[in-house]
Amino acid sequence: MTRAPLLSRLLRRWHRRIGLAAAGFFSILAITGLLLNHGDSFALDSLRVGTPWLMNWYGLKPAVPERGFAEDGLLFVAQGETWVLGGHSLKAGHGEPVGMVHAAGLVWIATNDEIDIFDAAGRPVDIIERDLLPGTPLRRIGSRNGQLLAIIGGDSFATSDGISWKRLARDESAAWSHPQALSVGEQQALAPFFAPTLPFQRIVADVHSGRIFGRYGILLVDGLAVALLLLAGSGVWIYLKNRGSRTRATKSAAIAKPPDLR
Amino acid sequence: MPPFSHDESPGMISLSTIRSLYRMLAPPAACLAVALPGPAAAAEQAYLEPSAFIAQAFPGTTAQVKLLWITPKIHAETVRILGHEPAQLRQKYWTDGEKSAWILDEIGKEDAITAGFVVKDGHIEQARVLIYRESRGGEIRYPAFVAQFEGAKLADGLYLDKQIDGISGATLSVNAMLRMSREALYFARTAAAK
Repeated sequence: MTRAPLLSRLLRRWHRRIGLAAAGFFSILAITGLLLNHGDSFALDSLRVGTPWLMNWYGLKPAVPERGFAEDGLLFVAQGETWVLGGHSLKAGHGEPVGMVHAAGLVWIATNDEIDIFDAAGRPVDIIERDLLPGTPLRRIGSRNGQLLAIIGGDSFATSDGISWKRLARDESAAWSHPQALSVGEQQALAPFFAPTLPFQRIVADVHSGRIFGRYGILLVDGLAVALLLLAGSGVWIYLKNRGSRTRATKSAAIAKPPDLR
Repeated sequence: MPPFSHDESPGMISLSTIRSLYRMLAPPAACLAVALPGPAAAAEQAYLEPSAFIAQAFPGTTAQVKLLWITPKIHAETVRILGHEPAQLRQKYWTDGEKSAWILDEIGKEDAITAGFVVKDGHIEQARVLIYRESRGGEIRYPAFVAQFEGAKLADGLYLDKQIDGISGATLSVNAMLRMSREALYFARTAAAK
């Protein structure tokens, strides 16, 4: 029995050690890789995670706006794509809201380019896009006698359905919507709506790349990538060595076998 | 001999060894290459602006914008057609008295598809995919597919009276177009009866 050379023994020993040490990490990489590859199928981009400790780990904290629009006991607060009306989460429109009016039994929320209409329970009623507005940008909205009033450019217009608009004289008075400061109690009540969340796909990608542990996490995954390369190289080396030895052993056995003289 | 035995002597790498290695690795590598997903398509494709669709639907005339409120009865029938709650409580449409144009949104798999339908005398005169937001299945925009809707009417059970051939790989988008076409015909019938 002959002993394998030092290099071969070292290679096998470290192949085993690296393989065992990295097995858990590679499993995580494989699972997160599969999730990323099939994220669309699993709708992972629409799944959001808001676990407090995880958001805290990311350094994300609830940020409740300090101002909102109030009318007829309804409070509307918006920040980015989070719109909240009277305790109901709304489907956000496009752009920053410039006003909220409760008129004709409906809630009208204007941005520079459109008016989003809801009922008092927050159900979407309609969207009046720029094609149906007398112009853009919408500067301000208000109400008078159950009608919606809007300042578009330098002119004032009135509507009762959002479709038919009538130009008004400039001096006509109206109750214009304007933002007002929220009380501490209102901000506390709104906090759950503005709690930070992240797409699950983003978290999976961060675990996969190591970014979830900051720059050291990236270095760790870099180290794992190098370890995988070493494993691949040593694995191929061991396979080729074994293969060569087996081939020679088979040939030797064939030569050593005595011929059948019968 | 165990795979990690220390009791073997080093040897030469023969051509047959390399060949066998290739034979062993080639099939899984080929499978992996086939299984790897391709890059996702663009998120949103606007093929025709809704305002341009309305202008094309009523050439030379100005169509009037009207509103159809989703009453409890209409709501129930719309849920029957769509299989889910309608997105909003009132629906805009454009009409010149003879025909009506409807711009509707419906989710294929994850994102909304915006389509336009022109309805005249109870049948679809024109169907167009206006904005497509899904990652795959955008073939429903091709004229050969949407032309199938022309002439379709609402039959019993709020289904179309004609067969619409599907597109392989775009089943959910095709189904969304079918639902929107039925919704447009139902809305047009309801609006005309008012």
